[in-house]
Amino acid sequence: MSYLDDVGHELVRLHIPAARRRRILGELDDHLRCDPTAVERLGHPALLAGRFADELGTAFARRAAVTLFAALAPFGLLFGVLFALLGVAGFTTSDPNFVGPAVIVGVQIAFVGGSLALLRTWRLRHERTVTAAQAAVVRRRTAFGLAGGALTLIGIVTGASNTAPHVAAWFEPLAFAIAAVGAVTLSAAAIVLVSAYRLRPSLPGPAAGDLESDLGPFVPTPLRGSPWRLALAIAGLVALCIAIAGVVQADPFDGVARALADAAACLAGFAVLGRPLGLRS
Amino acid sequence: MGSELLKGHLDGMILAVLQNGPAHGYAVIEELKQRSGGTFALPEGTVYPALHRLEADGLLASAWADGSGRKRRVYRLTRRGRAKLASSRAEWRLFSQAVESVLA
Repeated sequence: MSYLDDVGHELVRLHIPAARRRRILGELDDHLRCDPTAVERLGHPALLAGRFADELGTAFARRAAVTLFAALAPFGLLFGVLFALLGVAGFTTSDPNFVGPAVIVGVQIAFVGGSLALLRTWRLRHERTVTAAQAAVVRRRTAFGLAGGALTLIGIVTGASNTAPHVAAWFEPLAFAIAAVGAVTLSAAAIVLVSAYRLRPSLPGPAAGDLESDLGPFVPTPLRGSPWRLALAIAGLVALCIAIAGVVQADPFDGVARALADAAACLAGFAVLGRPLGLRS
Repeated sequence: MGSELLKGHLDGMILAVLQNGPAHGYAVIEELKQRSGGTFALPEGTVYPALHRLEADGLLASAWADGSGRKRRVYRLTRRGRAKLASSRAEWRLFSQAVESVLA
């Protein structure tokens, strides 16, 4: 069996996609034709294939996070426009609610997941390769954000269908068109994420860090060293913002109720997903 | 020179080599050796993965080209690659001047 055959087998073992494998083998074949003595300097097949997996796996994980953010941004903007048009479309408080639980939960998950994935990617932007644990955190955060985007999309379609008889005729087609845009952009993000899951770096290393390491100098000194204290502070800040919004909308009791519910959800999410999403170690 | 020390600067050196024009992997490695007067005898297996990653990050673009009777993958700098090269150069100058003033 030749050196290139061995490299090919190792590339298969590490789930390097077929087109990429052909390209790598083509380049190595050209290299060895230029210098047949280069086998030793190219390195052991397993080591060489591992380097490709580590370097490409790092790039793919980063790309997945950035693509998700790029997908969510226009979708979020269009959803904002749709939301702003609810009054123009003739929605009244007696109509079925367009913004159902799927949209409320989905938007928040998409925002949190997408932001966290981008935050970790930004933090690691100067790293040539990242450890398996770091890449796993980026992928999980991206998947979380993507799931939120998908849930929002389902919520928009369901909400538009349920409310169609009560509002202007143009609202439902507009909502479906926006959902279609979201479906296209989120599908593109999902494809990139699948590539990142298939081709993973295998570099060992310490634990992937937590939210404090992501936020770095932005974490006030009293909140350092305790992930739960930081989580409580963030939940409190979220609750305060929602409560203030309730006061501004002249519905302070509803605002406080939503603030408490969101703070509780924030802490529950931190308890359940804190470790897999790299928020606490 | 230690390979770990070299790896930290590999990206910038590859981008600098490709600033002169498109080249295939073997030519990039040879140019690195030649420009360094043989000091940078990189393990060649580190350069190809780096070329692929730099392309995945949008700093390089590549395409198959016919040359010497066979197909070769030829790399070229992208606009982002040129910008990255400029910032790498600036960082290196700052760093090397600081080290020089400490060691001198």
